[in-house]
Amino acid sequence: MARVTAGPNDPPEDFLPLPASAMHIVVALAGGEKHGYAIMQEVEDLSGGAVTMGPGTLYGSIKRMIEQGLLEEVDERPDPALDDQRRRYYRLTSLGAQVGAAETDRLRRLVSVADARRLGLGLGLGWVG
Amino acid sequence: MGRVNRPSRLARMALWAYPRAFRRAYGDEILRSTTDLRTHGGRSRGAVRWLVVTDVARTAPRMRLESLMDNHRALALTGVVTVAVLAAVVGSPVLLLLVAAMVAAMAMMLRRGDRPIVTDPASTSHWYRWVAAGAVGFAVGFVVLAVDGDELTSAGWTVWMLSWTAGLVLVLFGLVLVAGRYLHRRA
Repeated sequence: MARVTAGPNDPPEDFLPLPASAMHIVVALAGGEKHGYAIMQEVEDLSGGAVTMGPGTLYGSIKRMIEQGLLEEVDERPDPALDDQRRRYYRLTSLGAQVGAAETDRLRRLVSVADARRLGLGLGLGWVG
Repeated sequence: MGRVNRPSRLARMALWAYPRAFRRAYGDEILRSTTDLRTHGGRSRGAVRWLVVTDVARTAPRMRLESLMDNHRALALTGVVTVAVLAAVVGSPVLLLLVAAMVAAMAMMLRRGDRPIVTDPASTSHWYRWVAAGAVGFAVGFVVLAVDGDELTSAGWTVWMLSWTAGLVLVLFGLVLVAGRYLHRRA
């Protein structure tokens, strides 16, 4: 019987495919630790405004990813003069980075297949009309 | 300006849609991020309100259901209350007996501790058997209706009510298992 929920002791492949919201967070945090609102901004910037992550979606994903061992809360705060001490910062764990890399590989393979079938050129819909 | 820096009443109210544990862990952060959307993100009040409402509508029901799945007591209580309400509406002593049986089952369940229902995938893999058993319950009810005709006898009514109640409970339990399975696959 296959496991349905991967946890901190599972290999990265068991987490795939990563939900879109989780992958966006992984990519946002790949650049370094961030607080919640900064993650929301980064996700919106990365997607060119196509993805707007609401606070409930963001913190629901963060909660789940912390439970799975993909993220952790940072104890040390940046320079208090520069930022609000009450904000909570998050960063990728080693497992989170590995899962992000595995998901990137998976998506890369998918994209290469899509390219080979000419989906990327907008020519793969010959059956329409 | 002071009004802009405060989380809106809508955002604070929306927090109540989430389970208590989540609210306690991330409520302040959610309010702070919502405020940031206006103060730093430059979004209009209307845009932030729309985002909050759609976000809560999308995420809160799922979290509530997950929270319910992780809590035997809440699930058992929901079952008992549902049947009790049904019994009150129908006014059936048979259903009230069923409520008593469910309360007893719940008491036994609580003695076993507050364990999650769907942590072990094997426990939910046979959900369809519960649905099939429920369908059998409904089928028995239909047979009683067919045999007894338009006017149900007292015995027929009792069998019909019991079989349909059992069918309903079994199908609902099967659906709860499917929902739990789906949620854990997506998590």
